[in-house]
Parts: sequence; C-alpha cells; structure tokens
Amino acid sequence: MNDPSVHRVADEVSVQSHSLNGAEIETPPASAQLRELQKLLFDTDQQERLEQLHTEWNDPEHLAPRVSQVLPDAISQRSPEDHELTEAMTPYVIESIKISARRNPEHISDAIFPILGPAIRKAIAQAFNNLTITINQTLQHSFSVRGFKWRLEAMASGKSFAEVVLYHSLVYRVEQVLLIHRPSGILLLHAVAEAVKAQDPELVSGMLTAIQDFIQDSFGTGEGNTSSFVSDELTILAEPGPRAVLACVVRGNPPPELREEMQETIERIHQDRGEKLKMFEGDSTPFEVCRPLLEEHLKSRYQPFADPEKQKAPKAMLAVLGVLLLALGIWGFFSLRDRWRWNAYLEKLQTTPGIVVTEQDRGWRRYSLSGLRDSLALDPAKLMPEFQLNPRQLDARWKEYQAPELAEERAKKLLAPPAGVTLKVRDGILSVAGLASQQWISEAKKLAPFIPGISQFQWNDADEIARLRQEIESQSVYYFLNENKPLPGQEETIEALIKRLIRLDEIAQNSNRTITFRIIGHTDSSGTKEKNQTLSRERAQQAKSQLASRVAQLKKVQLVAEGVPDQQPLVGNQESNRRVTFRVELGS
Amino acid sequence: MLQKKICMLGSFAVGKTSLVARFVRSIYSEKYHTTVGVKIDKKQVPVEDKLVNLILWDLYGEDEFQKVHMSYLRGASGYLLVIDGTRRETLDKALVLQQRTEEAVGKLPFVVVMNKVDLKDSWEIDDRTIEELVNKGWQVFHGSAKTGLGVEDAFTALARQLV
Repeated sequence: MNDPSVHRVADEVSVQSHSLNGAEIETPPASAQLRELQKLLFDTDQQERLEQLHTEWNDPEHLAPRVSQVLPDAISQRSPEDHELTEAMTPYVIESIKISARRNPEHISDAIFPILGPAIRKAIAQAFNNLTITINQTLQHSFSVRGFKWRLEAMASGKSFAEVVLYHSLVYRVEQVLLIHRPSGILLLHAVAEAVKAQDPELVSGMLTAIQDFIQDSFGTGEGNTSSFVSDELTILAEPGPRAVLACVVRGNPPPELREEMQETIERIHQDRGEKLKMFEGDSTPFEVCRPLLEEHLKSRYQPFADPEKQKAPKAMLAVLGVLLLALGIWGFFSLRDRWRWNAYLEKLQTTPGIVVTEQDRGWRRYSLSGLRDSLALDPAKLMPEFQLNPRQLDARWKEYQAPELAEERAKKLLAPPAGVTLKVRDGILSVAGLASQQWISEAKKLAPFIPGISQFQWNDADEIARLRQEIESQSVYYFLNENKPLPGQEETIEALIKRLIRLDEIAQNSNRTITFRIIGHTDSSGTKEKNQTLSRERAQQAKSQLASRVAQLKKVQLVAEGVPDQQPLVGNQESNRRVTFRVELGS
Repeated sequence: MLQKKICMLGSFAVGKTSLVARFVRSIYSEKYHTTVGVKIDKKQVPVEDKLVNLILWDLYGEDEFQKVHMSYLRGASGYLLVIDGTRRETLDKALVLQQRTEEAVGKLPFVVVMNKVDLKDSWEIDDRTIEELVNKGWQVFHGSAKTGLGVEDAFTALARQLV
C-alpha cells in the first residue's frame, strides 16, 4: 500500500466521485477513504456482487422484473410534473390502437361500446340544442328592424339570410389553422373549420411565408417575432417557433387568449416533433399526429341573444308586418279579380263583330284599349258593366272601319227594307226575300254593290211564289145552279185573288219569267155531260173576265180559262162543286 | 405526398411566368410579382411511382432596379434558372444569380431552361455557349412558352434530382 500510484488512483477516485455528485459533501478523513477503496478493490464479496449487478443490468430477462416493480411508481410520479411522458407515449398508444383495430376490430368496438351510446346521445342533444339556438336567433332577427336591414343585405349580397345573421352575430371564428415549415414555407398540416371554403392551403402557406419574409426584409423586423395580418373581415395570426410556424385564419376579432394558446401549441409541436422538423425533407406524414392540437384551435364565439326587454320592438314590428301582409293580400285579391274580369271582357270584345282590339293595357284603376271599330258595332264601354268594370275608367282609342261581318246590318240601315222583307248576307251575296215593291227591289239592286262587304244582289222569290200559289190555289168562287153567275158575298175572295194576281205579275216581271194563271170551271154531277161541259167553260170564262176587268194589264201572267165539268168532284154536297178554282203554273 | 420548394430565377422579362403558366395550378395573379416580389404556384410531377408536389416560388425577375429577395430562396430544394435565348445579357445575369444563390443557400440541384426556342433564328446565344454550360455539368433544356416545349421535361428532371 506504499505504492505511490495507489495514492494517485485513490485521489482521482475521490475527485471523480466528488464531481459526479456535483454537490458539496463532507469529505471523510484520508485513512477512512483508503479503507473504503481497499474494501472495494479487494473485498471479494463486493466484487461478486458488482459482477452480479453488471450481469443483471445487461440481461433484459433479469432487468425486466426489476424495472416492472418500479415502473408504475415511476410513471405516477412523473405524470403530475408535465405532459412529456404523455406526449412521448401518444404516438405509440395511437399506433397500438390502430394495429389492434386492424387485427381485430371487435376488441376496440367492445371496449368503446359502453361510451359510444352516451357519446352519440350527447352529440345529438348538442346538435339539436345548437339548431334550436340558431332557429331562435334567426326567427328573432327576422322580425326586428335590424333583421330587415340584414334581409336587405342578404338580398344585395346574394347570401342566405342565415349566413348574414351568423356573420353579424359572430364575435370570432378560427376558420383555418396551418402548420408551416419555417424555412421552406411548405405546409405540414392544415385544419379547416366545417363549411369553410379554403383556397389551396399549400399555396397559401407558401405565400404567407413569403409575405413574412418580405416584411422582415423590408422593415427589418426580427426573425421569430409573432406577426399578424388584418383585413376588414379576417385576421391572420402567425406564431413562429424555431422550425415551424403556426398560423390561424380568424374571422372577426380574435380573443387575446388565442395567441397564448397558439404559443403553447407551437411549443408542444416542437417538443414532440422537434427532430422530425429538423430532418424535414418534404414528407409531412409524421406531423399528422399533431392534427388534434391544430383542431383544438378551430373555435368560434357568437354574440349572446338580445335581452327580452328589447323584444317588444319585434312585437310591434310583427303587428306592422301583419297589417302590411293583410293589405298586400287584399290588394292582391282585388288585383287578381280585376285581372280576371278584364280578361273576360277582352275575350268578349274579341268575339264581338265589328271590333278588333290591337292594343290593351290594365293599370292601377285605369284601362286602355285601342283598335278598329265599326260604327255599327256595339259600344265597348257599354259592355263593361256586364263584367263589373267601370266604363269611366276606360280610355279607348278606336279607328273607324267597316267590318265585313256587319254588311247585313249596314244593308238594312241603307236599304230600309219594307216590313216582311228579309235581308241576308252570305259570302258577299245579299239575298232578299219577302214582299217588296218593284221600285224598292230595283233600287236595292242598284245600291247593294256599293255596300262594303256586299258584292252581289240576289232576289229570292221562290218562297213568295210558293206562298202566293198556295193562297191562290186554296180559293174557290161558287156559282148558282145551272148558271155562270157567282153567288153573292164572294167579293172579298175575288179581291184577294186580284191582289195576289197582281203580285204574281210583279214577281214574274222581276225574275223575268212567265206564269200561267189557270181558271178552272166545275159543275155538279147533275145535268147532262154536254151541258155541264159548256157550263163549266162559261163559269171559267166569267171568272176570267171578272179578274181581267179588275186588273189594269198583266205583263207576264197569262190568264187561261177552261172547264172540267165534273171530273174533279168534291166529296160533299152538290153546291160545293158548282165552282171555279185556280192553278198557278210557273213557266221558264 | 412529398413536397418540395422550388424557386424560379431569371432576369427581368425572360418569360418565366409565361413559360410555366399552362402547367401549374395558380391562385395568385401576377401583381404579387411587383408587390411582394414572388408568386407561388403548384406543380405535381410523377417521379417513378410517386407524385412530388413542387411548390413553385416564381421570383420576380432581376433587373437593374430590383434585386431578387434572396430570403425567398431559404428552404428551397432546387431551382430553375430561366434564360431568354434572344438576349445574351440574360445568360450573364443567370450566371450571377446562380452564383449568388449558391452563396446564399449552398449547392442545390437546378436545371437551366433556355426560353423562346420558337424564336431560335433571332437567338443571341450560340450552341457553343450552351455546350459550355452542359460541360460544366448543368442540365440545359430548350423551352417555349408559346409551344409549351421543354417545360415538363425540365420539371421532371429537377424533381428526379430531389427525391
């Protein structure tokens, strides 16, 4: 033990243990140190124990049971201090859950089944609650003055009313969160709020980085400072870490605590993924585990509801709205009814002869019409009351025209046909029938072609001839026995016959044809055949002379007398067979 | 998907932006060039059996009045050097830019695009000069904004060097 080298070793050991402990400790006396060293170096028991410890330490089989004894305590002691252990474990826990789910999904579903039901029920209740709040809010705003203003805004901007209400009641909403690789500006992770339309986040991330660089270059702001960009509606907050930047796109006014939360997040990401950030070569997959951290920031806050005191205004507004709606309804009803009436009236006008409507308009309590009107047509204004329309509200401008369909009325007015004469127009032909004087017929014939809508005049005499014929042929003049002298009291019959004979002659002249007026004498069956023959002829002759003497001059009717003694006897007494009858025969 | 930041460098009016306009996805207008000095586009390039997302930083062309913001080169994985074949001085400027880039961000993969090959008759850069560049180990492509020639090849060649 006198070897000086042993002393040197002992000194070094003493110095080493001293510095290893790093704290001031009381140094034992040198002799005690030597004894201790001696014991360590030469005590065989100690040597064996050290070797055993060394073996156990290097053999996992021996080490594992020992570590397992202290592991639960170690974990429980570590957890309260910070989140490092949790964060270190998270990727492994996630990975093991994934593997377990892949291998046998039943384990996972069995495990989460007891919490799944209540969670779903809670989520649905929450969703319904939110929906009710939104509906209440929308309804409340629908009937307020502000609501009307927003409704106008919605109409002008093309957004839905609900969107505008949400927009105005929005305090802030974090719409997007971007995790950006600081040096390259490459997007590592992007979280976006529901129903938010995000532009290509990879380009946005690059541009955001470029703008930050630009600001640093242009204004010399220190690298690593927080920054924000503000426009009318959006604020972009950027929270830089050494290797990555966390950026939040916020609509509205971001709350101050957001900045602090962002700082915490970027620090945690650096803590957890620091190495991955350092080694980043363009593959952003390792950062996917940070998504929940980013999504935590996607929050929003809306203004609370207005207090009930202020809800009196909506009631008043509701009443005004009700009155307005009622007025609108009444106006709509009358307007619609008026429109139906007007359309029916127009339909009637379209079918009225002599009226052609070319333009029409219906304004507020005013109607206007223009077109063509025949002076013989109905007055359109007079038709209006029939359709419950006021003629005083009509402003009509008509141009005079002569409607072809009114040619008949025009002919009647112009030709003034005598009573019993009928006028008919068909295909431009004016057909005249009935009893008319020769003079009237001649004049009508001359005038007719000058009447618009009439090209031809046609005198229709067939009916009259037939009537005259029937009247003439139904008459008989009766005679005394064996005489050619008419019985007294037949003057009226003869008079009627004469009138008809004259008329027949007129008709024959008009139509330029000849008519044979046959006068036929009859006898009874008494007496001889020869006698009766003579008597019948005499009676006919007598009647002819009597008629001829009373008519000035027949131009187209020829009187022919003949006897047919008893060849056409009448059933009945003999007296009725002593007669003269008449027959009208039309010539060509 | 792998993402890589690529810068496009070149003298003023060499036609960088027009050259790639047809091949990239873009949401920003050219006004960003004159304001921020950079416009960012995106281009997907297949390399072997993978797609590489090139985030393309189109830096405003350098001239005597405006310098390229060298800070925009930070974090880039590679770059495209664009030269206008009809203007000799754009080659000289490109050589300077290449050197400055290397000083700023170190040696990075890059390719050269000799633009306006459709106007080859009025080129001021002869084949020998180009050969000299190739001999330096540079990859040179002939490109045309008019015909779209060479653009895809240049991107693919660059992407290959990055993965």
